[in-house]
Amino acid sequence: MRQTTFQVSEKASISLSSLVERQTRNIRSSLTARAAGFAAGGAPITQEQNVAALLEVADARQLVEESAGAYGENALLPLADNFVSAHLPPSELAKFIDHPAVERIQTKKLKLPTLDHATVDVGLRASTAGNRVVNETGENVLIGIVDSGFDLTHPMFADAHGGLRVERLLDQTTRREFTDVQLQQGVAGGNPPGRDGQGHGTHVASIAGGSAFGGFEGVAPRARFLLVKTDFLNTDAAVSWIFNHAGNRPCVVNMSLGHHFGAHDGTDAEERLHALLTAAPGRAIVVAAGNERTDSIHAGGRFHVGQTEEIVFDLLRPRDGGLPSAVVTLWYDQRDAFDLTLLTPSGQQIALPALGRANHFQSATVDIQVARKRYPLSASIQGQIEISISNPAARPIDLRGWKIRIAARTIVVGRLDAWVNNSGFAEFRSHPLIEMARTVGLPATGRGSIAVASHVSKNEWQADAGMETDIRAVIGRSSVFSSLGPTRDGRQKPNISAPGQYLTAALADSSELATLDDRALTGSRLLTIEGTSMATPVVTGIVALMLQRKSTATLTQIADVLQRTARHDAHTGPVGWNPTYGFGKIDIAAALQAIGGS
Amino acid sequence: MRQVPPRAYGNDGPVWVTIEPHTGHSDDEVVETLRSAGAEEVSILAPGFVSALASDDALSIVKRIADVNVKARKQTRSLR
Repeated sequence: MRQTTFQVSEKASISLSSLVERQTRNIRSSLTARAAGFAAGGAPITQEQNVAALLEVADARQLVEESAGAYGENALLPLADNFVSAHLPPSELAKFIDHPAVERIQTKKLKLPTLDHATVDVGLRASTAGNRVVNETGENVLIGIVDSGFDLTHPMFADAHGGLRVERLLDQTTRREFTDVQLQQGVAGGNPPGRDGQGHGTHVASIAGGSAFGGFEGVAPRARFLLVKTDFLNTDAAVSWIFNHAGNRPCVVNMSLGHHFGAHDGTDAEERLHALLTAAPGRAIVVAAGNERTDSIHAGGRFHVGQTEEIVFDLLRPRDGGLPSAVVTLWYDQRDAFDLTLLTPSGQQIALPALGRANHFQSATVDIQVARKRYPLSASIQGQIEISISNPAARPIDLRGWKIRIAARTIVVGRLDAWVNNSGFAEFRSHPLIEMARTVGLPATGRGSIAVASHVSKNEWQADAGMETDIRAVIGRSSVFSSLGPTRDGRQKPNISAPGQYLTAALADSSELATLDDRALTGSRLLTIEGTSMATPVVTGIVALMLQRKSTATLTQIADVLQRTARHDAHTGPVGWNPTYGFGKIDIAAALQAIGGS
Repeated sequence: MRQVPPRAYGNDGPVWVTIEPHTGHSDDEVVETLRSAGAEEVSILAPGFVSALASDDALSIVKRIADVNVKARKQTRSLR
């Protein structure tokens, strides 16, 4: 056994000293280095890899100011009077050892900034420091992502030779399409198309199939991408475009988005399109179940003849500063008859009209349209209430205390459900009819996709502001936001649960999410966020691995295997479906074994 | 509060829709009808599903031979 010794500076932590020493000797990283959060997986430490460190200094602001211009943006961030957060190469950090104003340099020995716990949770790695335990990497499989945009300059989109792993990109916001050559030229020029102003799409894509960089790697790192920067309306056209370009090659599409404007029974046009598109072998769509469990956007229950209920709801002010608006749809069996009335905050009563009719009302403050029509696809009646505040000077009293009066006249089935069109538009106040169940959104309620719930796989992460902890998030338990099944017609959605809280993956430069110092690790180009949006690409990546093993697998076969092989524990309860976890937690090794080959 | 004529499909301007031909009518017939009525971005997504950006006037014509579904705006499913 060879012994290695090196000088430990009094100012620098052992981890930093050993890292600088290793770098000069060009040896591979050790467990100590990995534990410090740099060079996970035994990759050679290079000059380019940044190290996260905490500098104790005499005057944080002065040190940052005098170093301005020497390093990139956010390389040095003052955290408090005497502390500076640094993301720099080891050699640059080492220069601060002799700086008179620096009292101590401590590398941040925190969690690996990777998909660590999520990959262990699904069985892709045996431990956070371990190698992949499955051979599949997504080779020869296409992953389609429909999302907010993509930072193609991020190394997660590059292959081992520096080539872009994106085959084609459609930007629905500009109605332009780009080939791989055009995209590569865009990256080379520093301004590739499909920019991700929000940061969501880059994060999602990297979870499903991000290339290894630093300590990070996605689930299917050798799959190739077909990307759609969506306008959030034409998602049906986005999925159609992806499968058209995939042709006969195996392809899985990720949709970490959704809504609640529909019947919630799989009959929506987009959901039926999904069923049609995934009828062919080698095709799958994976959709986020939604985060609306506790958002009070759903009311539902059984009525008896003569029963009358009044449900109160409040309009919410949009985060973007726009005018409040909401659409509430109400659904019941066509053999039943309900009197439905909207009561405004000022007490005015507007009855929903007879079948096939619509009425439209305007005042100086608000625009209201009510309608009622047959919905033959599921032998239902759809009532609809659209409220749009039209006056920017609307007062809080104009937004609060709207009511829907529901009076049951004729009952055969008796069930009535109502949904606000999406989270953030309006919310129902407490009432016995307000349900957390049946909050899985569209198109996740469709038959042509796999709907994914979220559970917690870690509750600590590293960000620019330092170590962050969510003590309310219990590891292994369902995420409190994850939407609950079943569908309105009683089908078993979500299908499966995957880690969605919290996931660390790629950060899009200059995106909205990059401004969150409690979530972004800008020097490492990583971001930690949560949602069924994050659980969904975990499943998408796993489906890509399944399609690599069996390229002719159908969506029905894939869903069946995922459900049969799902893992159960103290949180999920015994075998079988439940509205929280679906059929259980996804188990990658068992799923790959069960799907068979070719 | 005064009553005004109802809007057929929501907005004052054109709306994005998915259109499904009635039995006995083809996708091509729907596409041709939409284009003749001034609709834009008309494309067949899959057999039986046509996407378009169309005005109320265009939709009132095409709904004689097809079902019209207004596309819903989606949200991302992360909490940030």
